[in-house]
Amino acid sequence: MAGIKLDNHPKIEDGFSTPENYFNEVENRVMQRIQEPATRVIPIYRRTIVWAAAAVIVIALGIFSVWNLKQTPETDNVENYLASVEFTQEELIALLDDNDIEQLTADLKLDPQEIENVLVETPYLEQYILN
Amino acid sequence: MHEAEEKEFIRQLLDPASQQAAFRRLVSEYSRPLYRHIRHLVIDHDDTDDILQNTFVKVFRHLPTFKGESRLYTWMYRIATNEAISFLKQKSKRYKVNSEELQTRLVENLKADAYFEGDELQARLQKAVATLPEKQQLVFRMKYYQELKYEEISEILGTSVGALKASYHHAVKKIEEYFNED
Repeated sequence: MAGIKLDNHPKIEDGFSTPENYFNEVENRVMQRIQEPATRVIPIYRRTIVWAAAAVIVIALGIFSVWNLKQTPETDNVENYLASVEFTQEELIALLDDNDIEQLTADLKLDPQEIENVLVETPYLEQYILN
Repeated sequence: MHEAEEKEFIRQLLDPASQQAAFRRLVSEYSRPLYRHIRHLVIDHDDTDDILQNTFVKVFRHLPTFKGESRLYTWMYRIATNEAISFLKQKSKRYKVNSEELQTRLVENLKADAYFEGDELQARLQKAVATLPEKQQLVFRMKYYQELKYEEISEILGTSVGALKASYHHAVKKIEEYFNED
């Protein structure tokens, strides 16, 4: 089969065949089919129910998002949380600013003996003083 | 069919009184060439049968929209081509292969096909054509097998005559190389 030149070679047919009497039969089948009513195909984007369902989903998501944002932790929950967690002295001191400390000083009435006890018992006191 | 003759034929196709007879005549005259055209694209007889029927049904339903900007047979060929290509795209997706691989697969089964009576050379040419890119295959089949004129192919595919000639020339070269590999 080597060396074929299609333009010079006798026409090579496709080799396809059909069943006997096929073309008469297909004519009858087509004529029968065109009598049948056409099935109307409605593209999905035109179906009202699809748009309605999409709108419901969008609205539901929107309501959920707004409801979620409005949720703030209740005060009781915050206090319960704080009570359940152990904070170190350093962590508590880090959370206080100058105003908080002045307020504490005003509210706190310290006994001189108590002050002396704290000074003796607190290790690395100079760190607090220097910081 | 001459232009004046075709105009009258279209009038009969659109007139309810003469429509049935005119459409039967249309099917009778064009079923063979359209079958051949579709079969060259999809290879299998049963698939061709389905697509041919769908083509004629589509032609019938869209006759009222036919504006006469092209010849009637050109318009029908275009519908047949689009139906066949859509079918092949769906089949490619189903088998998860590209169009060239699909064509190769379809042609591999030809020898076992009850409606293929070709000899070794004819089968080999079908295999060679199946290795061509999609558009080149289409042009080759329409020019070589169906012996359509370039102007007719140009009207059907919407491609310039120059581009079609180039495409056919490349297709022939590749097919000859395929045979020379033997």
